[in-house]
Amino acid sequence: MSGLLGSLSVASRSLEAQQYGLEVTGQNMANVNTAGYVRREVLLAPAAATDPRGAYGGVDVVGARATRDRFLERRLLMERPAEQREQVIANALSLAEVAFGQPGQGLDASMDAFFGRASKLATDPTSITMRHEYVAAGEQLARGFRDMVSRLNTAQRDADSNVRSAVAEANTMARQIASLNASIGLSGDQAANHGLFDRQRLLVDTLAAVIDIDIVQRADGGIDISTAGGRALVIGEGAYELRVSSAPPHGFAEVTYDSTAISRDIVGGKVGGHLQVRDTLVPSYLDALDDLATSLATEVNALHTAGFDASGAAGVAFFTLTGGVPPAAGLAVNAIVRADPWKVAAGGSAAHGDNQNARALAALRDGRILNGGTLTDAWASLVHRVGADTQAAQQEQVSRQDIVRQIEALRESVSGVSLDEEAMMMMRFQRAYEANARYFQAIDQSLETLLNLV
Amino acid sequence: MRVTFSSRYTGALHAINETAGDIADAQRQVSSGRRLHAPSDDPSAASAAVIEHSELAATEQYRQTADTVAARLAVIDTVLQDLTDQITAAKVAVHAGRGSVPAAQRAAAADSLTAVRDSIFSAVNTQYRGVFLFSGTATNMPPYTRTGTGVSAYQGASGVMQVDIDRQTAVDVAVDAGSLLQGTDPDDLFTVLDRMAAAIRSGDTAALDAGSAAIDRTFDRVNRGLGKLGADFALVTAQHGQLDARTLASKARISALEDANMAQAITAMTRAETAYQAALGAVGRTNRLSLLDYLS
Repeated sequence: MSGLLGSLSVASRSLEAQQYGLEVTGQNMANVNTAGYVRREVLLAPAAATDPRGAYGGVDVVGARATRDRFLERRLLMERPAEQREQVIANALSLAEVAFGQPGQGLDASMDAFFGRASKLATDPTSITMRHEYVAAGEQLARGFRDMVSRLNTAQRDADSNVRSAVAEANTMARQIASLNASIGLSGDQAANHGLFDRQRLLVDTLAAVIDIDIVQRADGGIDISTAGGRALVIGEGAYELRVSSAPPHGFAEVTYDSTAISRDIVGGKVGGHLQVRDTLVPSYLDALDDLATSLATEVNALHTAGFDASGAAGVAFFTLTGGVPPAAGLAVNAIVRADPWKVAAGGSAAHGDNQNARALAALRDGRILNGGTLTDAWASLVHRVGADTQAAQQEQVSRQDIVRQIEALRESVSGVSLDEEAMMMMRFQRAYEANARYFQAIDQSLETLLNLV
Repeated sequence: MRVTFSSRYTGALHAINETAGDIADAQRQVSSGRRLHAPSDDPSAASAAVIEHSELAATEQYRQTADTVAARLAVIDTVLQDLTDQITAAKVAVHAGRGSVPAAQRAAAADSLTAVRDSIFSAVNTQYRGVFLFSGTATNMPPYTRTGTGVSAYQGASGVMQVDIDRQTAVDVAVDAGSLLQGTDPDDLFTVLDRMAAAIRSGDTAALDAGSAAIDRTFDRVNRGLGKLGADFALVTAQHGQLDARTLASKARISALEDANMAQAITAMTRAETAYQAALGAVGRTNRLSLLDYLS
């Protein structure tokens, strides 16, 4: 009798175990689309024998295990910042390069028009129309430089604004990870913390996309996080904030940690990408534009002041550069010439109608005046640099994205949920439940037979 | 390797996005006819295209200048031809007025010379689009003006205005009438003609001889001017042909750098469409299969 009752107990535990299996399967299926979710696996073990002969004891539910590969997760954390950095650079430069226009339609077209008008002026230096046209072409060219600077400055400001929001995002995530550390530490039971670990993994993954980080695993399951430069962001339950201060001369964001500027140390992640665009790439284009504007103004002014205007007076500077701002941003046609196109120094002598200086101004088109090349060469070189930088970032992004995708696929193959597999497990636990229920029924009937004898 | 639910969809989405991107690129090329939309599409081609566009702009400018120059030279040519005619007429008038001819005939010959003078005055004061063509570089000033019944001395500049019709090629587009009508002579043609008209009236043969020699020298100078003008005209015409050829060549190079190869682009678009259909079909088909369908 006691044996039969024991068997009933075993059958009951077995039913519970299969039901638990079904529950875990259901949990896996329910979270098939949940970001960061790691598939659970039921762990069952034979229970200690309860009969004197040690034949049976039923089954024990050991628990559920999250199928996680720490190595792959770590690899992903190493690759994610570089992928995000290249994506940010590629996106920003794709926008910036639009400002350069298509060949023959950008600043190069304005330069060609400017030299073309000088050539036209040389055919009739006494014509006020030709002089007006030359001055207008000069104004258009100067405006082209200023517009270009303005567009590149906008790209810089966008990058700066993104740095600020990305740092705020990093701080928010660091706080959430610290808070998770506290919860994980309080719980003490790592096996029961699968949900917290899933969330932890998702947060770390997202944080790595923002800034390159190093991770140290804590014994209690929590994690400590520092920047790649060694600045602690999370230690246990404490989060340490990155701060942003506006630095002169542009008022751009400087990332600081404990009052120390660390912008230069940040290479990867969205922050690293935005900093690269803001502090390295765009400034190099602006420098090239400044060189171009300076050479143009210097050479044109040198010729113009050596020439003579329509009244036979010595020429004044044709272009002016505004003090306190970069040359390309402050390039303008001299107000004196703008107000009176007769001041254009088309003559090489004081004789009215002399066109020698207009010819010389037109010949500047072919003058090797900037780094051994013409102004158009310098512009072509800048266009090439912007295009090559953008193309390199796009290609690098694709290659990094492929690496990340492959690692994600590998991680997914370990941690992801397969509905076919879960359907199989569902069938497996269902059948096991049915079998154990039959066993329960058999014991129950045996007991009934026995009791009917009384 | 386990294939999970999520990886199946992620992979499918990636394949669809990639092929859709290929279609978009191919479509953009086919619809615009261009393969170069941004410098990053081909940095080297973009850079070369900038240089080529600049070359095209310069060539176009030289072409326009050559057109203007040709029009001016045509006007100058007409004036110089007229000058030779007028000088010939002057010589005829001198011939008619010399020797023992009646006073009335001499007076008529003298009047003819004065008429020739006036015609030459009018011819050298010719303007083209408001520009005096015979004042040297002083294109806004008439070369000669009326002074009472006579003509002033040359008022233009001695420099000759040149215009570039290519990088190393310039042509004269104005004439220094001073050196044309006077040269190294002590008097200009107008003074000579006035003096000869008076000499015809007074029958001063010696003065007529001296004047005739001066007229002959002027005739020679004008003829030399015509010869140079013809050479310049030929140069401009030849240059125009060269500039046309260079424009065509530049446009061809720009097209090679910027334009899409339509056959290739259309083939690429068809290929991308097929790949896209295949990706959609594969996703649609494989995702219809699930073990759950077979569980009763």
